Amino acid sequence: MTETIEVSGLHKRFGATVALDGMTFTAPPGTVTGFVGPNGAGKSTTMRVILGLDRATGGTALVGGHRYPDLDRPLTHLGALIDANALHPGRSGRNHLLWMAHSQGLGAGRVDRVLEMTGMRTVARRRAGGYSLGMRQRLGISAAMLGDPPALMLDEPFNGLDPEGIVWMRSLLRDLAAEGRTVLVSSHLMAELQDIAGHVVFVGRGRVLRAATKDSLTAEFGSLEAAYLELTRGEGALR
Amino acid sequence: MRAALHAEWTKLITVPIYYPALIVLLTVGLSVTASVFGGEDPVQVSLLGVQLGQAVVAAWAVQLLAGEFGTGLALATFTALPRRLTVLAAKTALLLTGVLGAALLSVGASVLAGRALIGDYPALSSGPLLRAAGGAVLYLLAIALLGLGVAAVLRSPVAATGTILGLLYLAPVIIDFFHNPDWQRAIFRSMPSTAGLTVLSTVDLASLPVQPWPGLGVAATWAFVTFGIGAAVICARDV
Amino acid sequence: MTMLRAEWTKLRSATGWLAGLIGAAAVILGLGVLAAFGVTTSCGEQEGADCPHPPTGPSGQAVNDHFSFVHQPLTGDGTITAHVADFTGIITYPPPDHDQIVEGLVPWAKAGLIVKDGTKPGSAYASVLVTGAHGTRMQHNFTEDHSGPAAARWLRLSRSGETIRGYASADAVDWTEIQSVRLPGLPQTVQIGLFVASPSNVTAKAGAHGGSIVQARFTQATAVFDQVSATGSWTYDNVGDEPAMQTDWEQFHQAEGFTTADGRLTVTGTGDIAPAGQEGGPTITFTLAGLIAALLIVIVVAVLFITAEYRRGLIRTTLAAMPHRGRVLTAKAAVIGAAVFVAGLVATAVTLPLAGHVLRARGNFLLPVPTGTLLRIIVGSAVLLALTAVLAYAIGAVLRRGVPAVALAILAVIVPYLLATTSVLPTTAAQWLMRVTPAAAFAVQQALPAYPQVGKPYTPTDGYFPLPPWAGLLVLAAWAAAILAFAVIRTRRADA
Repeated sequence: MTETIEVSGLHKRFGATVALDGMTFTAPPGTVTGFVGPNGAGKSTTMRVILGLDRATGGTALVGGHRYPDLDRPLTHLGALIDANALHPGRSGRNHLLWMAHSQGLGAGRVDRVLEMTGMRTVARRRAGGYSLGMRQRLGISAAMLGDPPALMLDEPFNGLDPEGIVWMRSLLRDLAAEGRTVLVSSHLMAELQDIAGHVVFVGRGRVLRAATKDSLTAEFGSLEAAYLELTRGEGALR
Repeated sequence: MRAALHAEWTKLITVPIYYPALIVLLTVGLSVTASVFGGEDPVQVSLLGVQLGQAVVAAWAVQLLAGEFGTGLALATFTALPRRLTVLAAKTALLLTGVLGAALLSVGASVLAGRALIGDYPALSSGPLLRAAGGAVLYLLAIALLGLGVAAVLRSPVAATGTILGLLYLAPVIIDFFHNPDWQRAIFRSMPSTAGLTVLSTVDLASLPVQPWPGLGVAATWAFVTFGIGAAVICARDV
Repeated sequence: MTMLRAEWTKLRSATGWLAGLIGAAAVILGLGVLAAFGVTTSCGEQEGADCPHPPTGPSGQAVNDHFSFVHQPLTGDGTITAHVADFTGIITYPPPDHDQIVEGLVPWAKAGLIVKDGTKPGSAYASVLVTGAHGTRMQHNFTEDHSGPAAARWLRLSRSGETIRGYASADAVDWTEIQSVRLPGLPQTVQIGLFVASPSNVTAKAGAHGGSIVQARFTQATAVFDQVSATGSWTYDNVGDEPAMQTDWEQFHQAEGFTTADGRLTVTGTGDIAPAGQEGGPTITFTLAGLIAALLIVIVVAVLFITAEYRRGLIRTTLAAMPHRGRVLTAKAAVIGAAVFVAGLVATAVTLPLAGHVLRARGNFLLPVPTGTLLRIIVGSAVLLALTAVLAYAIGAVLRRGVPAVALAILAVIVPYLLATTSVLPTTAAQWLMRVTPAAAFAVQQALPAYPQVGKPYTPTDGYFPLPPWAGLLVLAAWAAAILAFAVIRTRRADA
């Protein structure tokens, strides 16, 4: 089963600020789609709109052809890591995953399996409030993998990871894509995605600046780094 | 709904919960103390603890809902369960069940203590006593609902706690400062705590600005309207 | 010092907190003025300033000045001596059954000798007297009271210029000087003579719906004086009497008055010569209606000031910048306390005079309060706000979680006050709450002192608190300091 993430014509404003201004792109299965742009370009907002956390003023965001809020057991369709700190500091990591599993009709067995996969088993029974940012990111990945979803969406997953963690994350993302899953990964640092992204969406000021395969971008600009600098020139100013 | 209830239940029991114990402890504690002193209205004296218990009920409601926004956990919750009203319904059902249990225990213990400590206490089967005791339980349930509503609207746990406790405790104090009988009656009749707690009165009902059942109706109206607004806000706003 | 500045910058630059402080000040002002506009005085046909209100004593306070006065003028110095041969009275419908008129004297029924600057209620006086149950006393100018020998029945009052001396004796041979007092500005000619007063029999019972209900029952006393040293013709006045307010007893059984036969003077009187209490009218304190709401806002602001640091991890930045944890916590407490004090002081200093002005301009009577007391209420209320902020902050620092911290602070400061003043708790329990809980600090709001020589129930419901203002504040300060100290010790040991 494969599920494509399709975003089309999203508009969103916060008061006077335009956050999304016609955001349109598709993340296909079987490859890592890099979602790249300066801070404030609308990456996180787009992901929140896809998940139904924020309501767009216009446009559609579909996961496998359905709106996310309409999905039954949504974590089995799309796993997401939006904010690694979105947990109760007094609850253990394992219990955090447990309530989430219960919300999808899944059992504790699945929880232990994802904890094993992310290397969190040994610390999973400690209070999440004591976790380092790296451990929180791994817990967040565990949560995203909980429903064994065909599509994943990760916001800045490299944040707070040590070098070993970055290597682990890269190979994990590559493996997930190789299994035929859709993997959408946002980052404001091109270097993190250099070797793994098969497809890159450059965004700025709430809209897509350029979406293309890594190969065509490398051919045009020489490297993804150069493409990023060229495409996002003037877009990084804080608004 | 079943999965949401299961998830919220897991959430509830995987962090230490002091609130139900505190409801019973504070309610019975103050009730027993007041019963030792006695007073004009034995039933109302023996249920004075509701004055304290309501604060814990309100705080629990706020913690349950606004607490998630405070820690950012709401993000994970509404990603796992994107149907927001289902989440609210599950939380409400669990909270009301918990408050009902704690309230039955507190009110029952308070009445028994009152009967043991106060001389001319009415028979357990007397109508006014049953009305006051049943009314006390219903009142606490209304406060739980009111707390959820305020928490849903305000989201900041601290601000929500301050607001709901202000709503409950300021009215009876401020009434004393207004040397205007018309204003005093108007405030007494329209605020949830002053009007709602008349349900505890069993003597000299004629001198009350509002009768027990209509008074409880005022509190219930506050609860339902605020909860309704809160539910609408939960649905409409970005997480 | 740098720490204080850093914390102040944090407080100042976060708009929510500043808005909270301004909101707290605004709510004091707003509700205060609203409460002032809400009052309209009316009494029968009359409205506002035309309504009767208690007379004012020599030092400016409202007083009761109602008694039977048998007097003659005295020009220059002089002395009067008399023997109280008999002192009896009636009390109408006293507890427990409230069903009959009984013979007896209330404890503060008064009969004796008095020197007074005329017969106008509120004028200066000095008196020596026997009481129903408190022995002989020397009292002057309404608020002053000094006890004399308990069993004495002979009384003597001597005037020398502005100085009045009171004596009592059991046998007319050995005289004890009770007190020598000065009545400044006493004119050459004064009225001197015999008086009888009998204050109402007052009890307070817990109201069925909370608070306390004060019941006052009419009493009357009759004293027989013999061996009166002064000769000459006597004049009788029922000072401060309102004929319209006469009871059935006075109209149909026994009116106040004075008879003389065989050198025995029989005087019947009711009323009291004493400072007026809360029953005389509202005091300026009630324009502090917004103080409670402000306390609530201040609690929220103070708790956020600390718990927001823990929640967002800002505390790690703070502690990295200023590694002395204990000092950081204390500095933060000082900053929040000082900021709240200033905001509160501005609010109360504007509100009380302004609301008082509104009240008077609308023709309402306010019980006069000395400037010193007014200042104490203004500054004390600001201190109450500041100490509450520190307490709430300290609770937040201990618990590190906002919801229980706010709830606990409100349960500690506001709820005891609510239970003590408006709930069905009896007065003794209410007074204990106002002694031991942080709410004791509400004593700063008490506008009128309680007098031991007035037989009235002084309850928190009526605005009388068991502790003096400074002691009440001290109780709150002790709570705040203790919890802050606990927070400091805990922070030193725990991880941030």
